[in-house]
Amino acid sequence: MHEFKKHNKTMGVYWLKQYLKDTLICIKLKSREEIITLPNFEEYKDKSYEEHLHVLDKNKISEYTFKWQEKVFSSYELQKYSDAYNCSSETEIKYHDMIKDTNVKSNKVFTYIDEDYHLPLPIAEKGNYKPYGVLNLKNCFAKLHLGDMNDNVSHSMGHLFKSQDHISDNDQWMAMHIVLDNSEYNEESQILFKQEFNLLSLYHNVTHNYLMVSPDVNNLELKPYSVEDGDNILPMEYGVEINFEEKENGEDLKHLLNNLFKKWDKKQQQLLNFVMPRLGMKNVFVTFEIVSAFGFEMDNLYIDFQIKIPDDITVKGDLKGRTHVSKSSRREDKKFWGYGHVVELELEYATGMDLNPLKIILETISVDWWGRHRTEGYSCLTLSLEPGEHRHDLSCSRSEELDKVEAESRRFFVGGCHLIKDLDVLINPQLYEAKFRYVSTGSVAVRWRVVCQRRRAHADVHAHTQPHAHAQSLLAGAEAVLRHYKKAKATLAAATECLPTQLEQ
Amino acid sequence: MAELHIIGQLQSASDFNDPNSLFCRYSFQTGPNWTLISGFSEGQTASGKENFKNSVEWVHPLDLHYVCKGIQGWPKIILQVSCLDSIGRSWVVGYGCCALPSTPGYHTIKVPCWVPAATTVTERLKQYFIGGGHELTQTDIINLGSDRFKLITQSRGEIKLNICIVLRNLTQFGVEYK
Repeated sequence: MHEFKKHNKTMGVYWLKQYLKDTLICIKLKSREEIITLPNFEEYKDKSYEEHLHVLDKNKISEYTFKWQEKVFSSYELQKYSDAYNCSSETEIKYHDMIKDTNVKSNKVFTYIDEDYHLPLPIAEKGNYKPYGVLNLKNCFAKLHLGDMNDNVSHSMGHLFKSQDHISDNDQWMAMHIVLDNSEYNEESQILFKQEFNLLSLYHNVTHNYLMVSPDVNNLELKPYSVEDGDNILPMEYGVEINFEEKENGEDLKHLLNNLFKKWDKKQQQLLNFVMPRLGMKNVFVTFEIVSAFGFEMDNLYIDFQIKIPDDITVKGDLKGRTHVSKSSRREDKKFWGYGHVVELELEYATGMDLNPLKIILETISVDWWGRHRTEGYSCLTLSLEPGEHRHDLSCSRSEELDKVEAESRRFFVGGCHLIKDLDVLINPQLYEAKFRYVSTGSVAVRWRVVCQRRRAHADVHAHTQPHAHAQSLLAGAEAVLRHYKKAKATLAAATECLPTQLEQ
Repeated sequence: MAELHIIGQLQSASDFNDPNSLFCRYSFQTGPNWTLISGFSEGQTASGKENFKNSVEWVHPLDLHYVCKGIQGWPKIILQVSCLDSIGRSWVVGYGCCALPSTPGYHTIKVPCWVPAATTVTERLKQYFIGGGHELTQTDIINLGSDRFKLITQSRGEIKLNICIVLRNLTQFGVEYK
């Protein structure tokens, strides 16, 4: 009966989250623990105390750490590649340069990298399988005659077969082997007997970015692997550890989250920095503009304005003023006076209060050749504080005496207008006894713009900004950014991998 | 951050009744809460002579983008129309100022212009025969109302502005503009 070889080595497959160059592979090697034999007196009588201790150190665990595709030389390789006459291929010349340029030392546990072509790749291995071997999946699938049932294969099965074909045909692989050198050398480091034990084989599928580890990662204490090669078994055990450098990933994420927090904080500060009205108050910004006047009799006109506000409103801005004196120009056979006088008001009042509209009294006054001022017309505007744009042509009228001759004489010789002493009569004419009449004169064009601002409820403000949804989208974006960053970093590393070598050359 | 886009054109000037070519310098002025992100707050149009309708067409493009952290100091445009005579001299023939609309959408604005008037007969004769005119030494007077009553001015033509206003994020801060 055929005797199966007993071993506990299994293969592991790892899907890589980041570039493999950052991965650390650690081999822990120790002597196999056997039944402790009692020491003989003869063995130790000629040895010193320190040598006794050295014997005890046999159980010490040796650690060997390698990076992906890091070349470590054995004594044999070091001797071989040191001599330039032994180096013919490009790889051998490269190793010769490495040994020559840097102080490279040999190691008991060394590596064969992809360029060494030490062992066949998984694709080639498939070709070595026996045609009817159980492991030859391709043959198994061929036996199923799947090609004959194209239409009957379900979608999911078809995808499976397709992926199998894909793996076997077009994949690119990189290999690395970690080997224990058990060769015997003479005193001049010349090899007498070459014996190497393959401890670990790593195959990286570049196409799909996964790593096959043979044997898989283990625990040295609980499940040690024995150092063996075919029929030879060494009294040693080893363990495999692979560190995929998750730490860096975490650091990147931490850095990214810090940046996100800064951005978020800045956004919140921007929200808070906006000048808002006081709590419970509403601000109204009014830009009132006296645009022009037309249709008046006399020239050299200016407009005096007074703004009457209710008592419960706080106002910033000029409530009284006058425009510049303007000489007319003719437009469409009418006299026209341009002003473009802008008055800005900032009103503040309590929210929920019924606001009485503002009243603006405009008095158009002319200046004659002698410098006398004559009122050409009064106008009263009820200023609407509805947000938006407003425009109005205000018709003006002036008061004059009931006797027309007296009125014209006074106007021509004296000027001025003594009939209205309190301009409130224009706002509430019914409250005053009128001893004069009004004569309509011209018009004044005005426009005003109103913008209101009030402090909204906290929730309302945030309903617009949607910070929660925004945070989720930011985090989702951050993950995407992190993925792209990793991908770009791996691409950059792959692109610059051979750059130092080229520079050296 | 609240944003304001001003897109439009400085369309034309009309009724200046000036035989020389006219051009316009413009400047946008804002309060301290406003920051210009893109575009130019100052500029100058090409010069052109009036057509048979007494109008000079400039069609000068305007494209500004402001961010603000407060409503105070809403942008205003200050205009200064100058003439360019046949021997290359230029002087101011009109000042104007206008607050920009606060509602989003398309607006046509007519800005009346004025210029400091010649107060004496000599000056008037000099301006008629030689050219030139009075200019403001402090241009703040154009957009500020105070101290303006001391000026004696001559009304000139109008400047026509076609402007689109785009507002963004203002409602987040409780601003009502419509």
